[in-house]
Amino acid sequence: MTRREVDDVALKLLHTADWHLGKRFRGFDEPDRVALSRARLDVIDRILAAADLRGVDAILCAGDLFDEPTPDRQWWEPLASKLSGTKSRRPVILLPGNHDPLQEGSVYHPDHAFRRALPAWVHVVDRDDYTFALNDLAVLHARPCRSRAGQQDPALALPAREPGDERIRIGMVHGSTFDAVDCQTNFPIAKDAAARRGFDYLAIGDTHSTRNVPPDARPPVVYPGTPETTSFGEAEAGNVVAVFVTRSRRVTFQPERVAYWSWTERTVRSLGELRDLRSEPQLARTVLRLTIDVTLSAPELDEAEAILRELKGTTATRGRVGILQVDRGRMRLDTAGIETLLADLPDVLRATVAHLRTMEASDQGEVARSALYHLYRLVREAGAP
Amino acid sequence: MRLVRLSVEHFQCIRSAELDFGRGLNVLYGPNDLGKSSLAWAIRAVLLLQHNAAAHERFVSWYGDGEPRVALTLCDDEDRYWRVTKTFGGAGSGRSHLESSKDGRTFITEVSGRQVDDKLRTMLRWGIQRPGGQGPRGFPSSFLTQVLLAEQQNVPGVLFDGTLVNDPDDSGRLRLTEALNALAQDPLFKKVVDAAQARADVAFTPTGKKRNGRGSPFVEIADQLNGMLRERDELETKVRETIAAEARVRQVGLERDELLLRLEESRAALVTAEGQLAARQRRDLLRTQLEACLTTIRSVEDLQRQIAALDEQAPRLQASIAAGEAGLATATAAAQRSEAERDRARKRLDSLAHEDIETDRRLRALGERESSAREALYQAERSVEKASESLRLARSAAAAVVQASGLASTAAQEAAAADEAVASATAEVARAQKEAELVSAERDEPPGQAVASGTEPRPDLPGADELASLRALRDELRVAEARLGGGLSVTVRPRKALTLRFTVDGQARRPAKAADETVVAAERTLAVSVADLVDIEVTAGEESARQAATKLQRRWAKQGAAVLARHGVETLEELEALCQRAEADRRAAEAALARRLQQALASAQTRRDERMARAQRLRDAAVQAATRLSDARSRASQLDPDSGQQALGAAEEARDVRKRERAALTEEIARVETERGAAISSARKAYETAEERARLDRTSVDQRGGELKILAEERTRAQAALAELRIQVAGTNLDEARRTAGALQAELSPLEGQLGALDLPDVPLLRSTVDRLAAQLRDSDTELARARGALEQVGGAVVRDRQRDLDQAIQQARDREHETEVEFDGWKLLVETLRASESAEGSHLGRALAGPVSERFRSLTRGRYGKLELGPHLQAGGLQVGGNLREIGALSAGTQDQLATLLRVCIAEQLQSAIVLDDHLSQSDPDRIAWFNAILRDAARQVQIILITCRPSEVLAPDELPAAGEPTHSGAAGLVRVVDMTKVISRFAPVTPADPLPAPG
Repeated sequence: MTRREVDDVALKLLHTADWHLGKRFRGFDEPDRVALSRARLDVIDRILAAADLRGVDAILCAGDLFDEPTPDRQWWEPLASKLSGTKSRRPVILLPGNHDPLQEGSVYHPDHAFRRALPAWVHVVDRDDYTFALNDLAVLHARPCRSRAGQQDPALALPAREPGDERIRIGMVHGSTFDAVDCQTNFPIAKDAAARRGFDYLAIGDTHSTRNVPPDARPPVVYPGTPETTSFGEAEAGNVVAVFVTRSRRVTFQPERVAYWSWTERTVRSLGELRDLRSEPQLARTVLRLTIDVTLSAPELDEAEAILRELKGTTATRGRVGILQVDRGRMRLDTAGIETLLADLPDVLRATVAHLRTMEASDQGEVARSALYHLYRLVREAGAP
Repeated sequence: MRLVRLSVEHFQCIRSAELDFGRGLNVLYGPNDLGKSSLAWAIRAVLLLQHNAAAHERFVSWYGDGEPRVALTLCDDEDRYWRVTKTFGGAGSGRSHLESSKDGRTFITEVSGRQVDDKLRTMLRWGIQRPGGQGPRGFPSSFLTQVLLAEQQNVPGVLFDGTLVNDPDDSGRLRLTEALNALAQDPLFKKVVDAAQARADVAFTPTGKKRNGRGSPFVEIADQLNGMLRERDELETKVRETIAAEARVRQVGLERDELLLRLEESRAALVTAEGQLAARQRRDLLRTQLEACLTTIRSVEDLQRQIAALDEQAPRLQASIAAGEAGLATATAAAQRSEAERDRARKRLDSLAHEDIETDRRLRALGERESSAREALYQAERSVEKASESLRLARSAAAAVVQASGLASTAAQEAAAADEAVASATAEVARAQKEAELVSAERDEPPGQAVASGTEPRPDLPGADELASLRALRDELRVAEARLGGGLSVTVRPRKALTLRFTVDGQARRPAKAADETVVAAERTLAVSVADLVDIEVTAGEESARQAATKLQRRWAKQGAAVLARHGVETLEELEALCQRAEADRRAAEAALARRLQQALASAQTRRDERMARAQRLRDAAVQAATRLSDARSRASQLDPDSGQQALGAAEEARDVRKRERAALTEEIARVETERGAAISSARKAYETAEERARLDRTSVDQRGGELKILAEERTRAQAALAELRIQVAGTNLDEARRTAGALQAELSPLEGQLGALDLPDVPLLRSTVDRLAAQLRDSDTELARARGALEQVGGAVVRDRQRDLDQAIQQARDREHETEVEFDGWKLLVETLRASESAEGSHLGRALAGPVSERFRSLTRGRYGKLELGPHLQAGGLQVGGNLREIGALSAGTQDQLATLLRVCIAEQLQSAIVLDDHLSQSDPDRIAWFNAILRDAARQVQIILITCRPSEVLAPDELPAAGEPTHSGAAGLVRVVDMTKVISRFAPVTPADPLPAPG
């Protein structure tokens, strides 16, 4: 943004969406679930801080702020508290999305306690013809989701620019752009909807990656993405978007990272890679899905398990990785030579080893290898030679 | 288990005895013949023998009348007291009781009778079969009874005969296995198996089933997984609803779009059709007007052309009428000529028809003659066939005579041969009958007579009377020898090491080299061979009894022993068995011979019967052949082949004449029919030709008449029409009509170009279609609104997101479940495999026990011997000496006793069971006895030892003996209890005191 453009800026917005407060992370251990769920509340502080830093005119929240229409109090109450605690008192516009549609009894319904807990500068888009004057030069038109699915284009449902209306027009809806699979039934947004309705910027929510759809769209049709990643495979997530509109209605926007967690999937194929992983920095704020695809001897397996314990941590010690999810499905014990490792044992234990080795070729091979490893560890723990 | 108290009455030489045992080493000492070993037997009897078993007879008192009675109090491992009391005797006098007590004072009866032994077997678990079970007869014995209660005479027996294999019951093996497993268990193995079991117990019950309670790792994961699967089912339902709603919306939307398109198309088509319809109506009107105008013009012009044509036609019609009249006259004349010719042909045909009647008559006559000729020919052919058949029959009869003659001759020869075979078989039967009768007569004769079987008895075997006599003599000798009983003891004190050979009551013992004093006891006789120097024989009993016995022994040597020696047997029972086997062999041979003869006789009779039946069949066949020959000859005499041949020639000649006659007649008939056909055909053709010509000529006349009439009528009509046409033409304005037609054509031409070849549009149909589509579109709009409403009620992309998240979580849970199962199945498998390996190793009981025994034995022998090899069933295999395995039998008798005692003590220690050592080291030197004393005192800390000895000085220190007048003394803090058995046992007969000990101090 050039200096002239800064001077000409007539409207500054912070565009965010898809907070998914109350989302459950079922594939994780209980402490990790709690941490990931709590992180979705924590990121709101950073969003509000970013708004303060930029001095935006308003914060546009384009839907799916809650993971479901009737979240527990533990999710909406802290949000209301955080919004009430802002000193800037700049307008915050909350839009119901398809995850948290505006329905009877939903969190956005005027009768809900959440609404009563919200401060005056926080507004909920609770009408189909919702209009809000962002400042003297700009107006917001928005339309809420009233169901989890719909076929009508919410953007085209917004009013078109009237002849002679030269104000900055911002649209805000929640739905799927034309390029998404099955967009026809998920509040489809036409490619030219913003242009047809005369908007200078269409703030939308739903997809968790930050995108302008299409990339060079004018006027911009922007997904800010989720501010905290919700699952592996979500590229370009963890952002909010700062929007700047000049008096001549030129629009620029800029993604800004606010997420705490980075989500990564890795596969290690040797013990050396696993050892190297131990020394990598920045793992403390990483949600790591680690697939171990390697065959190891019993001592190596011992070492690998020790490294994994170090990476994950225990109830008493903090792990090197923030949140670690390990897939041991392809981590196998190489039993060749285990007789040598256990050669000095009493006859009865050596007979046990021999018998388990013969069972490896049977359909109980995996269990037999497990038993061999158990035996190896017990013998070592017992201090045998 | 330990012994607490023993009470004995009327048991062998003991009138009564009663003693208490200590927990550790119990030394029971007393002189020989006091009855110490009887007490050991009393312990064995009360624990092992049923009160009514036949073996109890040996315990019946030798001097008194009372039944043997033993009461033994035990204390088990749980400090519970048991008192077993048995009075031995047959039916009515024997009885058993088993009582129990918590304090050893107040007892209550648990069981009685046979159940006592059943209960004792269960308590002791010594490998003795239960009462009533299948097992060896006599005194119950097993490996553990041999170990714990070995007899005095068989101290080293456990090394030679001891094995668990021969135990009648597995209880002893199981008890030893349990006890020795603990001994064999390696500390590391125990640590490993305990840890593995602890981990397996987290997930599995003791029976190996997965735990399903709280804390089970399976349950926790399964609960999580099941919860997620239930949630996924719900989500799947919602996803299905979403998919259905989305599909419905898409379908209804597509249908609506299609309807809208069709409606718009239909509306456009309707507008077009309505325009076309208006133009078409105008065009049709113009066409009608133009057509009317043109019709008028064409009508006037046509009238004008008709008038001109009629004017031209009148002269031609007149000329045609004149020519028609001339042609009619010519045709009439030709017709008259043709009819005349036709009439002539008719007449000719009628004439030929008359001639044909005559020809028919002639043909019928010829046909009749031909029929007669055909019949005659048929008869002639029948005659030829009959003659041929007669000739064939005559020739066949002659051949049958020749064949029947041959058959009759053959049958007669076979019948004669069969008669000879019958005679031979009859003779064979007679011989077999004679042999069978002979054998039968011989079997009826008494045994010992010569028989044809060749199984003659041994003539020198004694008969039944002689055997009975020998048996009586033997019984008399046994009674006499029994009266010699009373016991004796011989003490040998060699002045140097000598080989001594003892024969006790007739049973030789192994020779042994001894340098020390040796005491040997016997019941009746005892023989001692001192090296090769002297044989000494000592006999017990009163003088009269000895003389009577000697007398009978001489008689037996003369009468009985000679017979036994002659037959190479040692006992009378063996001789009796020999006689019985010989008699059985003889009877078996006779029976076999009789069976063979009976089989031979039956076989001969069968052959004779078969030959007689065959001879009869052949005789019958000869008679039938003769009858058939006679019949053939009779038939042959009635048929002559030569006269038959002549008759056949005559018949064939007559048949040929008839054939020729019939052929001539057939030819004549054919010729007549051909001639008649040709004439009639020619006449009929001529008539038909004339008839056709006449018909054609008449037709020509009629045609020309008709044509002429038409021409006349046509001329009349033309004249009338011409007048009418001239009137019509005169009233029409032809020019005006032509101008009107031109104007109409000018307007019509553009419309014709515009409409072209278009079909007539169906405007009502199009209008109806538009109305129908409009209604459908309204319905579709309603349906689309409904579908969109339904779509808003479903989960949409939200439930898809949740399902995707849940699928990932389920997969991870399943991975965790699999990992957990593999981990705990691994623990379970490890425990099972460890136990199986332990069991396989532990079943070799010898390995567990050989160690401690060998260690003590090495200490005893100061390292001279190595490890004792014990088999899986505890049978002794030998000793490792200098790297080689040496047989136990190669050891000295004393060393064998020591090794056997060590093995027994070790087993007792493992079982924590009392052990009775009855004079166990009688052949050991003082050093080893001293070593053993230390071992026994050490072992007595764990196990109760009952040591019976006649040499207390070898076992006890002087201060350990009871004080004067006291029967018992306890020392070593109660570990050693010493009992002077002379003060405990009350014998039926007096005994000498035990060997004197040096006075204390």
